[in-house]
Amino acid sequence: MHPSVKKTSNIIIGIFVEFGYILFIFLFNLLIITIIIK
Amino acid sequence: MILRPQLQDIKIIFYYLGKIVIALGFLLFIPAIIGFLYKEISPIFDFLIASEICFILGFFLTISCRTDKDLSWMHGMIIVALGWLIAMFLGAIPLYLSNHFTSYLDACFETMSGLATTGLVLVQDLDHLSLAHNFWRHFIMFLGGQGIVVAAIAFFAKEASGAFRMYVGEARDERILPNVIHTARFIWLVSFIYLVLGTICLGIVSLKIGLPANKAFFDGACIFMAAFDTGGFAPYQQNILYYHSFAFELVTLGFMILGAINFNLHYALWTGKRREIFDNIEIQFLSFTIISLFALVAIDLTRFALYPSIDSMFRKGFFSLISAHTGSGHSTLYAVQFVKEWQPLALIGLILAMSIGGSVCSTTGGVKELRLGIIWKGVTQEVRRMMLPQASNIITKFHHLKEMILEDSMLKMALLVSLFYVITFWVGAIVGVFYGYPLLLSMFESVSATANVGLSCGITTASMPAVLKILYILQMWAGRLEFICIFVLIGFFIALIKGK
Repeated sequence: MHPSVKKTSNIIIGIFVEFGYILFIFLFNLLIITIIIK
Repeated sequence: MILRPQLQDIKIIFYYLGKIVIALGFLLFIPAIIGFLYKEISPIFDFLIASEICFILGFFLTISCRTDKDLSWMHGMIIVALGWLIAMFLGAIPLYLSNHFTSYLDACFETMSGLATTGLVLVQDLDHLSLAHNFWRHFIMFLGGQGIVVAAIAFFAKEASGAFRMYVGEARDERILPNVIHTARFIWLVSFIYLVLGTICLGIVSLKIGLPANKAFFDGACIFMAAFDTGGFAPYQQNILYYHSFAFELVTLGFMILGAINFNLHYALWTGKRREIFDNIEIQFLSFTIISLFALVAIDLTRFALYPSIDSMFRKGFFSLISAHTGSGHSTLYAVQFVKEWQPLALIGLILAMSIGGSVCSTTGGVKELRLGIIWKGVTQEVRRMMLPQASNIITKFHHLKEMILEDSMLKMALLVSLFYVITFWVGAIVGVFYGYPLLLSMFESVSATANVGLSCGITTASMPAVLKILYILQMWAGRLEFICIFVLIGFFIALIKGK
């Protein structure tokens, strides 16, 4: 793979990993809300 | 014996301050261009006047104090501390000229609130402020979040000599790349990539909720700059509540959390070290404190049936907690609701979240997760030392970008900075109580100012005492720069008077 392609794909995957972490925080806290409210 | 600083020291400091002021002069052209694009004639002159003052002052300082000497640590720290104050005084000029502030002090407050990414507002009739001035309010947040000096290094520095000492002074003690100029440019690269992504996302959502295209993307850019830089300004008085959109709140929440992540971690994840998201001590502590403090807040809010549905609890309770924890200060509530509706336990949860903040080397304020992690590791080390035989050699490790061994110097520094934060929280709270505000609300506002959060329970208004305004300005300044360079500046003035 060309270095610049690898660099760009790493950045895109990195951004997805970060958004994955945010999704985890959202879902875990939604679970907390559901447990507490119900 | 204290050594009196030489004339050469003062010349070095003012020479570099002159350079920062010139850089600010160039940056003031950007809102002037926005004014030109949106056909706002009067605001253009406000920014040109401020820019001209910057150029006159900047060139006067650089020419009269020209020097080839290298910066020492003391110079770097003092330049940063004074640079932020000068940027506040000069950046406030166009805001004051907009006639939306009752005094120049209020404009300075707003500018420091923007630069320090706090988000406390004193602007009057915000909904009718010109787009150019509104852009400037958000742009200084974007500038201050990454760091004024980091911006100057990234775009104007030709050599790294001395730049690292100013970089450290701006509360960025971690270098991402070996060269500090490359580090500064990487910080801006991350910010620009997310600026484009954030503006598009928020712009599309704004279009969906019915804003015209030119306003949608303008608002998108402004809200992104305030959310990613954990500032909390918004183009409207009602802040995020103005948009009445779950999707808008969700995207803003995502960028607030992104802003609380260490730039070093962005670099690690963007260069293939994806396991770092699981192993990093800051992320582990951030996840733990968000979840545990939200549980505390949610239990108290549910106890009084304030937000009975999952939707309202997420949009009001969770949004406020994340806004407090990341130091953003964006709000989906009116300030008065914290006072009239929220109970003390939920407010204490928010105060704790605000005081902890996000990661080091991010745009958030507060004590920060890494320091919390180091202090926790220090406590467990001491407990193990008590429980094991005296001759045992106890080594405590933690993972922050690489395997690290806990050293006494790390623990000492983490405890010292945390102590300064706690003292500053209390000083602001006590002065608030002196002026007649309840202790809990005074503490809330004081922590919000010092930890650069920006959530308000209603104390911050144009009619509050001038002493409190000045104190909050100092708290925002000291909190953003994490105290050390402020103490160096104080030491410098003492040496000027008492030195031999």
